[in-house]
Amino acid sequence: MICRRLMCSLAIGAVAAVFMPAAAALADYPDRPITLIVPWGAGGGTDSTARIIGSLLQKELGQPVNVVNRTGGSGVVGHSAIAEADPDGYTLGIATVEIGMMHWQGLTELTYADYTPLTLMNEDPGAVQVSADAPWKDLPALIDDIKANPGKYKASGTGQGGIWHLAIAGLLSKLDVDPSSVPWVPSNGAAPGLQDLVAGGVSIVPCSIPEARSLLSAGRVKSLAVMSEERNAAFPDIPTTKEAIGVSWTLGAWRGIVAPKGLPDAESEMLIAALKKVYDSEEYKSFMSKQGFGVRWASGAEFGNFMKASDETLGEVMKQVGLAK
Amino acid sequence: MSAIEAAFGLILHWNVLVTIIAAAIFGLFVGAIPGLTATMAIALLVPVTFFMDPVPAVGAMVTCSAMAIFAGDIPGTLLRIPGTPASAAYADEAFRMTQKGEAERALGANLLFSAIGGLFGTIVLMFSAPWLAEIALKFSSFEYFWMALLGLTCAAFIGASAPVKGLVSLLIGLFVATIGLNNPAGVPRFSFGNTNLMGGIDFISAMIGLFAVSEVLRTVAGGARPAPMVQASIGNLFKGWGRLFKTYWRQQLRGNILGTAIGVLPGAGADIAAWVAYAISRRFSKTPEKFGKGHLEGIVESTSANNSALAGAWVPALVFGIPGDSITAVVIGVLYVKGLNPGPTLFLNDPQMIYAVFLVFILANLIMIPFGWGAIKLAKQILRVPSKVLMPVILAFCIVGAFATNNTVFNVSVMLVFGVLGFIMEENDVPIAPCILGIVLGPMLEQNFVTSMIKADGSFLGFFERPIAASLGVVTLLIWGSSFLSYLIARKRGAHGSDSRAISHDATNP
Amino acid sequence: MRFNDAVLGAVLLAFSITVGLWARIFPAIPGQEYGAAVFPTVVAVALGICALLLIMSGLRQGGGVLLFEGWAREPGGYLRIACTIALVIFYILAAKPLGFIPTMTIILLFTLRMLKTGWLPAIAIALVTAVVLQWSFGNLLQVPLPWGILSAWRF
Repeated sequence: MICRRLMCSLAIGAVAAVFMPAAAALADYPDRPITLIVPWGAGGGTDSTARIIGSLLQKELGQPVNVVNRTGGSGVVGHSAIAEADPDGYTLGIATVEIGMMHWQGLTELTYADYTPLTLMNEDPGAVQVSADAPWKDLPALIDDIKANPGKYKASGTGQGGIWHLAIAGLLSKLDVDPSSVPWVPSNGAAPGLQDLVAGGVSIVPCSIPEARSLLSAGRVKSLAVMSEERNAAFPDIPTTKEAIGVSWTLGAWRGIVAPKGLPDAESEMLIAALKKVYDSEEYKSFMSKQGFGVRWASGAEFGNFMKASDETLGEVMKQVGLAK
Repeated sequence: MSAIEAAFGLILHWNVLVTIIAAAIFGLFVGAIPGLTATMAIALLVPVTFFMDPVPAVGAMVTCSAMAIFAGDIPGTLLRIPGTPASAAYADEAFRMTQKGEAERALGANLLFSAIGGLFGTIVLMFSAPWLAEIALKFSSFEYFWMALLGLTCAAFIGASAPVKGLVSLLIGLFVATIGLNNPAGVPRFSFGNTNLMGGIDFISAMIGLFAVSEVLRTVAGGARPAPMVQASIGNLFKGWGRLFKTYWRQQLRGNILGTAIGVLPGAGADIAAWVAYAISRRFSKTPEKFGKGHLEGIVESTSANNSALAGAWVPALVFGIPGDSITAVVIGVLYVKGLNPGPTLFLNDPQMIYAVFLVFILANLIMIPFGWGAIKLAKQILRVPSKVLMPVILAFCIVGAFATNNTVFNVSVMLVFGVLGFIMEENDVPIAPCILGIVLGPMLEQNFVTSMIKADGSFLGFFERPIAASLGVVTLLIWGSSFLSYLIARKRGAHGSDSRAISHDATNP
Repeated sequence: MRFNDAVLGAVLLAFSITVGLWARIFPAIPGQEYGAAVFPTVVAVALGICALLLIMSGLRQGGGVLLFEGWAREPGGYLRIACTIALVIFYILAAKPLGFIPTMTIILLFTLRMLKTGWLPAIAIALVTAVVLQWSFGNLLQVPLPWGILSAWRF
């Protein structure tokens, strides 16, 4: 009898012991590994940014942060995976500028509104790269030549309707030049586009400075203007579009950490606080500056507004170019 | 001279050597599991290298990638599950050697020629990187189009025993490559509005399905009866190497040169190199009839080519910061973080650093030999496991591997569909290897064709206007023309007698 | 299970016609002649030609529509293939709710038994393989294999 009761209480104790951590889980988030989804492949700029953020966040939260690549479909697959995950704080993602582009093209229903915005971590403005031996000494000379010979000069650096395609198209329409006078040659990213620029296949690559920096340093390409309010710290000789041609045109690729929609405030605040420490850390700053990446901070609702504004600007350009559906 | 001494000083530290050895073991482990790629191994190393000095950081990455690519040959040879598309070209051939009981001989040769290939590529990298990078920068979409077409032409040669069926396989692969959003126009094709299909078919999951799952299905169908696969142990792997080297030095050299040349071009890489090398080896062999039945010659040339291509990919990466493949793309990022900014100045400003990197390359290819030897001896034990136990476990690995390629069960579905497809194809003598090449090269072919047409304003002449493009184009057309001509001649000659299959077989193996 | 070449050719011909027709609806790149339709069309045409060649050679060869050799002569073969396919489908459906370890253990146990491995070794191999895979892939290689019903016991 005693024996049986002992067995019984032992069994209850064992069951309780096993389930205790599960019950306690609600109290102290996070108590298990966090997954950080990257919508782009291993090896790209977004991937390496996510990995440094992941490893620093891991130190802040005391739980492993596993970086997981979900690639394909120009970012549609990965962005969907982030939005579709449970909003429990254990699945986060790094959203990129493409979230404000693909829904205009009719590729997905997803928009920035399907996420809980956490923090903006980086922004890289576009710049107008041409071959080092190109005849144009500045941006006005290039624009005049484009006006005189529409369709002659081709540009490349992303896929059809990608961010750099919109960067050049938006600049041209801002200057009242027909965007289609510079036909777009789709490529798998900035590196093949730049390679083609040097090989003489295309004339213009409107990608960001960090993507072009090694060829800029090697003196194989030159940059005529950068599409931001301020000059790039690493290349202070390159003028802004406003300085070069008198028209303010800014467009850049950004990256930020988001969670699925409906993340509770407690988790959200905790993650923003941890990400703030990551952003302010010496490791993050030096990693980004050595890569040549720009840093830009916004958190919570502010980041949400940033995504909204970005979405509207991109939608406008895409309608002008005829890419929006 | 002092720079070289300083470089040796940087390398010969216990922490550098320990890091390299740990990375070697990690690379072997990851590379030997189908579905886990060298790129993934490197990406996992990135956060670790943040906290290292530059030399061990780069050393770890170089060693890890070299090991992972070699290790991809191990499951390819033992189980016919190629670890990477670069080993897919000769996985079937190597597996046939295993069936003949020559697994150790095949793997030993793989190891030797992989290491030599890597060393050859490194030497080229050391002495002519800046000069080669200049040539690589002359390649535009016109040249890449011809390269891709040349690669596909080679696949047609590989499936030469029944050219039509080889072509069918290739075309199925090309069709699969069109699925999804990753095309120059950026519109979804054949995706039924499904988000996962929009992402396209992942070729690694497809490869696991075509090669491994089809094999599992075939074995299971036969009830997994014990097949006689007694392995001849050659004991000391190093013993036969002198003779191998003597017999196959021509193939080895040809493979090395071809591999380095193709590897230097950003985006072409080890995959094409291996296929082209295999085709060339068959074309110029004195005994082409032995190919496809477990013959070492083609394996030697192909494996020499893919490992030297790996080193070749570093040429544009180090000189211009243009990644040759996804592995170098990751490493370029790490180089920047470590203050070793790629570019011509890297060779001038930091000579001891760049020499140290070269020394790591050499070291990585040298330690590949003892470590690879250990891995082969260990992995060979797999063949002792009866297939009634082995096949279920392989199926488990396939599922996990396919899942790991993009961390979704969708890729397990892809694997299953291709497993069934591969099974049906092989039952009907349709070779599966060309299908993989089609999936890998399809996007490259289409991308470069469409972008070339945009650049040339819709004129086909653009493909012959640039000197390198014109020569590549003429070579491709000549190969097509001569194959077609010899087919016609053989057909005319054989019209009186034997059946058409034998004729077409002769036609492509003159 | 060998089909006559003519049968294969007919299936491929139907497939290539479908692909070719489907490609008609793909839009061109704005302002360009060559767009999304070019490449699938070329593939469809080439596949169609190969299919016709196969049909011709199949008709010339003659013989049965379907040839059974080796495993295909005994009904057990088909059953085992069907079971293996069903088990992979089971993984696709059950892995997330049930978790990797239970799902994989069931699949392994079933296939091992199907190939006539003894009960005891089968159970041991299935369990050990599933747990080792979860541990090595989940922890060392950061592959997010689902824990499912075992979430409270994750390691």
